[in-house]
Amino acid sequence: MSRILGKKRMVLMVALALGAVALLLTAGSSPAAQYPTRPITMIVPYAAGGGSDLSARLIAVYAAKKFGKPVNVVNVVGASGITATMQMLGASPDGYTLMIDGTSNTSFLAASRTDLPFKLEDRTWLGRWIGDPMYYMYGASTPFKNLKEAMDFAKSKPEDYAWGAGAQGSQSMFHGLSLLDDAGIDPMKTKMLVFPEGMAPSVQAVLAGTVMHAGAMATDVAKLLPTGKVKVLGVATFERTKQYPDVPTAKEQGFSNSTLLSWYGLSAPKGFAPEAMEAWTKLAQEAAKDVEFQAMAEKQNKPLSFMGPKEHLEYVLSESKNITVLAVKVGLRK
Amino acid sequence: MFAWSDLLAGFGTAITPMNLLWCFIGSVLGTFVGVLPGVGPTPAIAMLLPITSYLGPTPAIIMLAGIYYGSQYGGSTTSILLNMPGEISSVPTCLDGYQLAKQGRAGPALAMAAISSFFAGTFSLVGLTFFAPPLAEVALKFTPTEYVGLMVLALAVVVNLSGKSLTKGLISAGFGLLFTAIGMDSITGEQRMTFGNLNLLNGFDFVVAAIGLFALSEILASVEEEVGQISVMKIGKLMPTLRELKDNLMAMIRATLLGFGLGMLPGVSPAVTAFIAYDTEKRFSKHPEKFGTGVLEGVTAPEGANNSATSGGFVPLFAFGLPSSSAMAMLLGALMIYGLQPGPIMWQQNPHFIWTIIASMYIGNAMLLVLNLPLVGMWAKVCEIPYSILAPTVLIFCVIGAFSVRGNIFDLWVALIFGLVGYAMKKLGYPPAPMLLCMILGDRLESSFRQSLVLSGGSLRIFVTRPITATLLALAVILTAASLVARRRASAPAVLVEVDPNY
Repeated sequence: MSRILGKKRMVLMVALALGAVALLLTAGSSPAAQYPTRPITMIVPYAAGGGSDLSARLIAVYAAKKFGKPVNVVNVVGASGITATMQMLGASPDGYTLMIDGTSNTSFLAASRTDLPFKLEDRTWLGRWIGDPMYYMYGASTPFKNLKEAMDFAKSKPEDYAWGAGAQGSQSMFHGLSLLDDAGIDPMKTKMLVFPEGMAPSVQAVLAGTVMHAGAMATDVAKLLPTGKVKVLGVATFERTKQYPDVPTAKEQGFSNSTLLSWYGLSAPKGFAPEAMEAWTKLAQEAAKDVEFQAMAEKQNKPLSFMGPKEHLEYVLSESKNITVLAVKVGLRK
Repeated sequence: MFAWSDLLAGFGTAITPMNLLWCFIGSVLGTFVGVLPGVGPTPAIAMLLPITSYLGPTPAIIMLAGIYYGSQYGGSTTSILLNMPGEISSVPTCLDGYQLAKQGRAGPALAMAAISSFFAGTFSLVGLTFFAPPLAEVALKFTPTEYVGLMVLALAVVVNLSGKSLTKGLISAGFGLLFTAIGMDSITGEQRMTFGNLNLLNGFDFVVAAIGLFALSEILASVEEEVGQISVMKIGKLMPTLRELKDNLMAMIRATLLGFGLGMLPGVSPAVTAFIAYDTEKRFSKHPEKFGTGVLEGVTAPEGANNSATSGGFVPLFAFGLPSSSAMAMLLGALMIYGLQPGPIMWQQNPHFIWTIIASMYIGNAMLLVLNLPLVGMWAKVCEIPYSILAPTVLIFCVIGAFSVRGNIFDLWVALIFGLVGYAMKKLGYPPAPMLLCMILGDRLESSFRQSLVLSGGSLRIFVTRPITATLLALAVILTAASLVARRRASAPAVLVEVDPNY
């Protein structure tokens, strides 16, 4: 051929051909190609089996199904969630590292500690998925018929009122603190029992009769109510839950500030890749309408409550502010 | 609550090919995970959780349970062969197991560990089968105050772990307690001795410390001695003699009861259970001073106890849905993913599921015995591997293990430093076991103590007015006194010169 076209032309043709091939190849794998193209990591700041862990796994399984790529849940335990947060914040924002957030490692953490190495706003908030209200669980033999009676007693004899507070600075602790504060009691005068391992031993203490009440999640209530050993006197949220419509809210019993929602959502490093952000936002919207996902969540006693990224961030910041006020008031925030 | 027909029906389901397969897979995986230091059943269960969503709940839970008790079979292997505890509950096994390996008796040690694990694992299941509900009620009665009593009793074990010098043992224990203070105060949130280092907010992880104190220090010491291979003596017989089996029978029975009872209590670390079993066995022994030099009972007791503790752990789970350890919490999580609620509802609505799981545990234990015994020969050969190859390999596993506990590079430094500390302690004759035991007990002891004081309004009298606590504390005093007397008596007449133990 070179004899017919001449050497220069031959080179030109080859170059053009190569260029065309290259163009075709890159067009196929342009960044606009479907996110995700490889497995995603979801960090959990607490131990496996706990509230955030199970919420993460619920979402991860669904995401993996919809994305067609694995979503690996990794537990990075330590320092009340600070370790995991630092790891997430330091990861690449390319869209393949996320973290499950809950109140305990965001708003409540920021409220109870002054030495955090990060600010709540310094991450990409991906919105909320789950809203799990906390219940006030009392022993079955408790003399109180409702929260008001319990608080009346606590007001008259705070030093005789023992309650389980879960871990330091946790939502379980603030759950009880806000109730006592609403009732006009100084929580520090009561017998506040701190359980460093978290909510589980706190709830167990109610069964053992060591404490009068502890904060419990819907799963704990579902598990323990049939044993006949506990009574649920209230739930700390804005309106009665679908699961337990007979349980009055703390609000309607006169404790209007005890509306602590235990929520779970996702977050990612600052500057999160836009296509990843879009994919996860869409995923949440789909999940909200997906009947199968809802059924799965119900089976695991995780009430769904979706909120978009911006709205959720505002919620978190205002929650943090309110809890900080409470933390300062009771002397928790140093 | 119990009916033979229920149990038989459970067996019926458990022996279907699918369930048998997953029981086998779980047991093998568990053993494997148990052998690896730093990796325990909890992360293994966590990693396999997604897969279980493709199986049905029965095979999934059968497999996960298999991982749990399987890990307690595997944990003894590296403890005996390399002084490297595969599981934190196998730390006491290192004390006599490794000595046996050095004497060429790794075979009997490994075999005894498997046999004891099987014995205790199976017979403790009987307790789970017949007595779960009433026992669970007893477990519930343990308030923080009772835990203080129990932890103090565990501390009394320290005296027996001290080897030749009680003073050095106590100093080691004291430092162990001091180390637990490092980190965030669990009740006020203040930082103690963290020097601003965020990695220390949670203190030292005792699994990482164990890897350093036992495995790394051993490597350092062996390299210094220019050990050619672990076993100086030729590998002898692979199985314990019938005589030895007979002698160990009482040890196995005691370990079964002790492990099951303590395993039921939430929050009692299986390591603590194993240490208490080791100590108890030493007290019952006709030759207590030989413990630490290579006594078979020193392997039988902790290995049996850590297996029966796994059965004990299922008691509160099935009775109330309360997990007694982090591995159980993971199992609970797996159940919840299927929307299953262990507890009274399950007994009412789906008792067959519980019986199937219990039946599968009997099967799994049998499988593990059959698996592990023939492998003893293979494992024992590790003692003949040239140390120049073995040591770096072990080092790699230690490093991976230390990292895998929290996914934190900082832990590697912790392991290394504890390795150096352990090496220095070896040289100076300080026993490492008391330090580790106190590091395991310390946090819980402190938080339970402070919780008790909150409950009592600051009065110490709560520790004598509550019957169970008072009994436990009295027992601790008695046992400590008995140990001190025994030590006095042992050192008075001229005693045979011992082979130098670990310490």
